[in-house]
Amino acid sequence: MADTGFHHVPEADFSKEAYRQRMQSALDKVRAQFGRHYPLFIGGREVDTAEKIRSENPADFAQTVGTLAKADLAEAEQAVEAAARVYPDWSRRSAEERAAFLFKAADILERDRFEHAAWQVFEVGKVWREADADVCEAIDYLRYYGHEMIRLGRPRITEPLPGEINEYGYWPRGVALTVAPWNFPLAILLGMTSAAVVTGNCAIMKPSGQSSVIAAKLMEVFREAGLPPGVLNFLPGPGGKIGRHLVSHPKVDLIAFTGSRKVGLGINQAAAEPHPELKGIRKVIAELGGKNAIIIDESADPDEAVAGTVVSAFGFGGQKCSACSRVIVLEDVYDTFLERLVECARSILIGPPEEPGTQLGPVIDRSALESIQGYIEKGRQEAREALCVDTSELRRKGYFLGPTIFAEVPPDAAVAQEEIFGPVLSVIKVRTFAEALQVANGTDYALTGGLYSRSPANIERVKREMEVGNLYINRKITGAIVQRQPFGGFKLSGIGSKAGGPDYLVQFMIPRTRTENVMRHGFAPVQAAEE
Amino acid sequence: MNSATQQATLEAIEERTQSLGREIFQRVRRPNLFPLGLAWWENRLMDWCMSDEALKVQMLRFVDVFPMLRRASAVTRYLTEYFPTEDRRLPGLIRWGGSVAERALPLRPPVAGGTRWGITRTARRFICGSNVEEALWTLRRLEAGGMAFTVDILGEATISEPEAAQYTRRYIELIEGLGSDPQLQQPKPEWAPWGPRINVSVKLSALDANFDPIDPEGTARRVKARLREILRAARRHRVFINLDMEQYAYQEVTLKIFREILQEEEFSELSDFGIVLQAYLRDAEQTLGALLDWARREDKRFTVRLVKGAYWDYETIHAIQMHWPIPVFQKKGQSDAQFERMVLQLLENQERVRLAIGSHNIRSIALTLAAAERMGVPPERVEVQMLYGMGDPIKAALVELGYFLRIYTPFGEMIPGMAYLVRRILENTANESFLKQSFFEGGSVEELLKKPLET
Repeated sequence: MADTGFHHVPEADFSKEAYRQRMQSALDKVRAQFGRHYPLFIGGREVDTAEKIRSENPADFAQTVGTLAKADLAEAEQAVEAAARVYPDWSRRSAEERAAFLFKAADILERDRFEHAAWQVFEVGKVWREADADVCEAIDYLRYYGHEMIRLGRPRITEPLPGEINEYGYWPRGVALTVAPWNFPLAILLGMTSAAVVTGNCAIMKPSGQSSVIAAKLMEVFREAGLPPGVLNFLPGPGGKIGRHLVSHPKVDLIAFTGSRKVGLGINQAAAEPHPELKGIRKVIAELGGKNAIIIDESADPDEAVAGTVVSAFGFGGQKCSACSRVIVLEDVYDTFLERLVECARSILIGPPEEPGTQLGPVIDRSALESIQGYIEKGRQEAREALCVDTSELRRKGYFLGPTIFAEVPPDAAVAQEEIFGPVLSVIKVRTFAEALQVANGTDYALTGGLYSRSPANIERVKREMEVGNLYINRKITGAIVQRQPFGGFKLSGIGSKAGGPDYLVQFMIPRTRTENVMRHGFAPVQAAEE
Repeated sequence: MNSATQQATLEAIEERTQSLGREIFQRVRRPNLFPLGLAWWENRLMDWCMSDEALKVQMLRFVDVFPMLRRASAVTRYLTEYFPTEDRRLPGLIRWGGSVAERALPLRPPVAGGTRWGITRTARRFICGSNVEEALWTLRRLEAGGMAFTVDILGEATISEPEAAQYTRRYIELIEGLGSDPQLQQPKPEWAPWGPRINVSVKLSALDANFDPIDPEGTARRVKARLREILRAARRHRVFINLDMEQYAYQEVTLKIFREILQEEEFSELSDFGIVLQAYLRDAEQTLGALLDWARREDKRFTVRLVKGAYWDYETIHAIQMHWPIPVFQKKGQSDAQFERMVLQLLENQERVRLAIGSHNIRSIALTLAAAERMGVPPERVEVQMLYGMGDPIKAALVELGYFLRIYTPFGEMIPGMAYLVRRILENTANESFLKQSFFEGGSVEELLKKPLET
């Protein structure tokens, strides 16, 4: 792929004291801002509401990180109107002009990167490195999509032909709704939203209730970048109500969604509903989740296989669509691997994510805690519990759950088929490599997957046969980086193409072909012939 | 020292370096001496690795995965996966072994067995055994040959609390095992000025499941708890403990633990204690300067083992992947030059800090010994350390010339041992390897003794 001028922002090197200090100061600065109130932002103006949303710190649920105005149907309508009104102007601006706003936002975000990371530590319970990585991914999206838009914005001549100019280019769709999850509260929100906006659409951001303060901070970044009023509107509120309303709104042309399978399929269905005022067919882009597996064979490096599986399964409490929730182990190495896996997971440092040494923080909220605990109960009936770590002390203050590992899990058990979105790992024993692949491919999902092996033949086989959108060999299966590992899956893991890749922005636009006859009575400009 | 004296001294040192270097080379290049003292199989392995870069990579990857393969059928399967029989570049023996094993089931065990024998033999060159008893056998033999030792434990990475506790026990068992060995108790007065005879190198990351520079306080607290137990055992048996230096990201925490232990009341008088510094790090001189300042302020005495550094590929690749500045010099000459500057700085501080150098480079060794001589440093304040299994002719020459030599001798199981073996082979066969240049390419003495260039 051509060099578009995009450069990654480096993650913070926390082995250096300077970076640790900056993070520590940011945490202090952000703590001092707890409890502030954030209004909606519609058509360039702040809008407040009587009802409020409260955002809590999952590590200390008595603590209010902030409150937000709560959008209702009236505000949702206003947002659509504001976006539609400014759309003709915004869509006609050049790709370079629109990209410039993204680059400006990237610089602002980079300037305040540790503060944005600190907000993540407190609002969604990410540990230092995860929070920093999320912010870096967000900055990368802004710059990558900016460069990509400049590339795609140049209309291409399909075929040089004397007397006729044939151009292929992209035009935006209209009003876009982005519905974001809380687990990559800045990166995914920003990825979808900046893609919508740089391609010439006007967007309404509906953030997740659990990470709305982080989204409010993002809105502040775009305001500082000078984005024209109405191009981006900030609408926190109950997804069931305003989300549903907007998804079937005749003036909403595109929906970009990342979240649960159930909600995503519901959106896809609602978006397809005909409406008398609907002028086109709504486009839906959705990323829905996974039941990702790592295969371990007899030649796997024991240190790396165990450590890589633990990081992939329990990083951010397994609350990633890319997380490893199944590990499929060849029987020759099953016992040694399982034993070491259990001890390694047992040694994970659990605590408040603001402490630099914490490796596992809380899960996001009470309903997640209860849902995960429900699966753990099910797992105890379906398989053997090899590890359960007690966090009842910590749970008095926050939604802490320790790592849980089930062994000898039948491949069709609920814990091996359904997405749990928590720190629960199923270990499955297989006799042959063929069986391993079969089990790996045997769920409804196809998002990420991995293999630890030093057999060239097995590596080749997995590349050919493992049904996943992102395959990782001999490394962790989480942490996809913009441009380097375009991210996304198929089957029930999603519709549409990969974030952070060269095909992503195209989905937000409509391709058009323009043909112009430039001959006048047999005479054509020389340029047309030479192009 | 004013600059004129400095200049005179530097010239005298350079002169003595050249003459000592030539003396060493003369002894080392005597006829009838196998260059690396290797037997047939090891020679073949080295030859193959040096002749073809791609083959070398395949060879080392195979060696690396080899100990995981328990069945003969797995060994032969992997042999053919790594070394396809159609590949003409491969040594005939390997191709024969692979194709035969592919076709004839009964021949698999002998082929696998032969492979196992060859690899294990090569490993044994560099690893002195898999337990304390076997280690002792080698260490006694080393001493009989006129060389002292420092022992290190090779093992898998510590990724759980029980593993950290187990390592701590293993270090203590090693200290107690060596410390109570009757033969090692026999007095050796000629070596007494160089400190305790029994010397153990410890890797701090083995002592904690969550060793992480993001949390220096937490890491140091947990590691020190275990290190204290090891140091107490060491003190009981008069054993010297050296802290190894691992990857760059761990350096700050390792130094922090080193300093904090020495500042604890229980260990404030401890001097049989040392730490490693790596000259291939761009900021090594700064680190050394800070360490020496601290030593003076706190009135501490210890040993520094100065090495070039063994993680070059990893540090470079990792930094590039993370878009961080690369912490190691990119040119070997730069490391060598910094090494020499650090030697001089350490020798200037010899009253407080003993110097041990880890090197197989005759120029580096000669420079160190020459500088010590010309600067009037007592011999017992300096020692040369070399790896077990490498550079044997150089070791023989140094012993003959009457210098004190300590051999870094790892022991441990085969699987982690393989990773160590792979790194040693990589070192030996790298284009910039001093040993390769002197023995396999027959470089000229003048070239090999030249002052390292900065660029």
